[in-house]
Amino acid sequence: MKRRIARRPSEVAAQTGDVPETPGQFVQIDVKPEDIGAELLPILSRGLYTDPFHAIREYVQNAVDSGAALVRIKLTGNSIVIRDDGEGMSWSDLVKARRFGVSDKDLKENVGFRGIGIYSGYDLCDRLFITTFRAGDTMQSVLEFNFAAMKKRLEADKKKGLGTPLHELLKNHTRFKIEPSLTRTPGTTVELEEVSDYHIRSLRDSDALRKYILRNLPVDFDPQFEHREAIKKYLKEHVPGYKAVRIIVEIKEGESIQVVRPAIPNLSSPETRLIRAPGTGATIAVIWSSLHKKRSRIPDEYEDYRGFVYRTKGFTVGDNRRMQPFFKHGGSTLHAWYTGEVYVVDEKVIPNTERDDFEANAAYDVLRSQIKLTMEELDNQGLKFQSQQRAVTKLKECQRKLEGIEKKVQDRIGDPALMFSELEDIISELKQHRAKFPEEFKDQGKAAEKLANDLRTIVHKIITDGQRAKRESTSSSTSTSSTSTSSGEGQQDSEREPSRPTISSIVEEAGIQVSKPIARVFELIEEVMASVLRPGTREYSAVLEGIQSAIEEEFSAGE
Amino acid sequence: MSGTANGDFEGGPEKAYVRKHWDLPVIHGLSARKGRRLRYFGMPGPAIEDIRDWSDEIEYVTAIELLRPGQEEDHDRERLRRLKHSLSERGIQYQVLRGYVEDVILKAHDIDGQQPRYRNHGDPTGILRFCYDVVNLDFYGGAGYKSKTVLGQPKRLAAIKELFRRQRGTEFVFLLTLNVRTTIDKAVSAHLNQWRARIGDTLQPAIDWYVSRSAGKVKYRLKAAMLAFVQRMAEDEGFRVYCYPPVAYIGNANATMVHFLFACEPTSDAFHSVSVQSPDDLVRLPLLTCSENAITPEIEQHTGFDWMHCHHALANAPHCVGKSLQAFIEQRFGITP
Repeated sequence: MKRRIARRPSEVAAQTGDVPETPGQFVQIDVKPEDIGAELLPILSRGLYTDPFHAIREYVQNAVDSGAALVRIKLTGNSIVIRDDGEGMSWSDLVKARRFGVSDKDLKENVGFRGIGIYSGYDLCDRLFITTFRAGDTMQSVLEFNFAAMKKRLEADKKKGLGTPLHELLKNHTRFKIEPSLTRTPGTTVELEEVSDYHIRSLRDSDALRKYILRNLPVDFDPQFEHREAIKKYLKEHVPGYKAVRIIVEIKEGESIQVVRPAIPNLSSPETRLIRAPGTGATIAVIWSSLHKKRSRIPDEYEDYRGFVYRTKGFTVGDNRRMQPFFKHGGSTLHAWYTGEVYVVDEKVIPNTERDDFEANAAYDVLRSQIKLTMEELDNQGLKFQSQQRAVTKLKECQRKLEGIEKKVQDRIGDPALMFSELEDIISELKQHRAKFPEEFKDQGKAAEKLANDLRTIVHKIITDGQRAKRESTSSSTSTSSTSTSSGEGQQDSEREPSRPTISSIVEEAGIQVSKPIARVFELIEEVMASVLRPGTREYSAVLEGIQSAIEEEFSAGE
Repeated sequence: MSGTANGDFEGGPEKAYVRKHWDLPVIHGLSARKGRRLRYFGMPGPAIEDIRDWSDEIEYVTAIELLRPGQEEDHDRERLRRLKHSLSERGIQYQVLRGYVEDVILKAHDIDGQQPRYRNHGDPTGILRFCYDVVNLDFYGGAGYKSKTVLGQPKRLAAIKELFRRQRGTEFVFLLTLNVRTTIDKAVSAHLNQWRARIGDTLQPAIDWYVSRSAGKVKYRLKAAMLAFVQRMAEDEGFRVYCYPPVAYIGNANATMVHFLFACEPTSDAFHSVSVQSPDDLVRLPLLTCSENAITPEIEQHTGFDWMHCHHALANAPHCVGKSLQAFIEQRFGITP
């Protein structure tokens, strides 16, 4: 529908050069096509597309907007060919595609909307060909931009001091035609022909291009990624116009790289959530997140996927460090345990031109505050997960130790006193982590504790039986006067309490290395504690347990 | 023969029949032997008809297309555009080299300095070798022009010679299609006369027959000369070659084309390789013709043509066509195997 601009009564149309008859009255003067200079083309093209990758992005974006699922980017000789399997364009669509700064694309559904992207190759190549076929058409349509001729004309006119009208430049140096289609396969082929050597050199860096694509285009997940379907299904349901493409890059000779979000192994089932604006309840962002199940950050080879990124219509805004400060525990390290995306669906939140942040406005403030809350929640979840996983590791360790002790008891081998001490430690560990076991491990925890207690009873009995037997044999074989000392010593040995934790042992267990002076400081603290609280008392144990928890809390989040 | 909306001539039904029923079984056999899809080097043209017909067997395409400056530039650029579009549209892995195919073979690079993708730099002789499985040189023009020579040898013949040097060590199927229109017909006759000395006495009249064919029957002369030439060039580069009977057909703009098919197997022979087919065997091969979806022997063959020998030789032809050719000979000439 054409927009009508209402003319104010005081404004009167006038011809260029006619001086208004009435002073003080504004007049409108027609803008003729020749009033818009063709220099606008290089200015905009060079200004907006400073990197050759930007041009590639623009053409792939068009492919995405046309519903493509697969895009191939190929470099052969000094040509770049971008082929998509989208729905293609009709003749009239293609004619419209030539328009400059005019686009019919729906802002909600499509990535591109400025209507300039097609000219992004202007500075890169001499010619641009677009060959397209749409289902139901009988012929394919072809559009050729002769950028070399445009540049030549602009240069020549400039030298002559003439201005070149934009419409004339576009009309004279673009051509259309229809031709039979060989396969009648819907889709579009864009070819940038005679790309300059300078740009070809930068474009040959396939690794840089891959990274660029991953950051700037809505790239699909690797088909091997176990959560691919679940995440895509959720995003399709909740992110308007969600699209994802597989991109194959054939830039280096003999190399065919499939650009997909990689299949990161050992990820938990994705958690999804909708972020709503307080008050209106409208969805402003859609999130998916997965935790690395290995209780560590996402492995180095997937470093680019650690943490969260903002996405709007498939673009990454900023990098994967933007939401890191919202993770407080362990120096923000839990952020790297996650991988996920935040799809911004609030249209009022607009990426800035550099796409490294959003434009500052109230909508962005709301988004940021809600995201902060969500990320803090995820941080706490991560922390809980971490302590749960640590507890599970401890449980497994205890179970292994118990197995060993049980076997020794059955085989009647090993030092009962040592086993008793180990069992005491195990029971203490299990008690300490009992509350942190995830639901599915609670029964195992209980069973382990029961086994440890049972074994302790058995071992205790072995010890006391042994002592009794020893006493009896000693009393029968030696004189009463000479046995008292040794018997007393023996009792002391076998009934010696299991070693208690010390500050040094707690610190050591936490994997912290301490220097000699600090170790000495710990000893002094323990001496003072012993003189005040006395070892073995509940108070003494409580202080030590407190120290242990504090150290674990402080130093383990960053594992 | 068919003209397209783009003003180019693409192959007609006869050519398509030859590709599908004569060439494809041989290409398929090579693919089965190698246990993988094949690498193609040639001039598929914007319609990529050969690639489409052989698509199940082809893994990678190195396509060569002309780009001439001046008046032809616009036309050539259009062909290049459509070629790339056709290859991209079909999702084929490819590279497009620009220039004359003869130059690409002789220089091992195109006008942009781009080299064919499948090559081997590790050759101790320092020669850049190609490693293609299917080489399809479809010369709409003839075997050569007097004006385009390399040290006196027509460029196309020099390129064929060089092709075997570059392909040394790689088993491949070589397809060659030539227009009988050639300005080197005298050279062809001279070559046949020289070759005559290597032929058994009984077949020398056959060579005379080929040499004496009129201008309207150059296809016969070309048949005899090219088989001998290719076999010799290939053997010099360590290949054992099996030459299939050439097939003549009417191509674009009523031009008579002769299509050759060679299976080239590398050997480790220290000296010159020797093919199973002797020079006499090559002379005895029939010239076939393709029209109306059938390949049959030309009724006119050289003096003393031995149809029984021809019947035997066709046992090695692509299966279905070979059988029908044999049946044709049995019926037409009363040959009983």
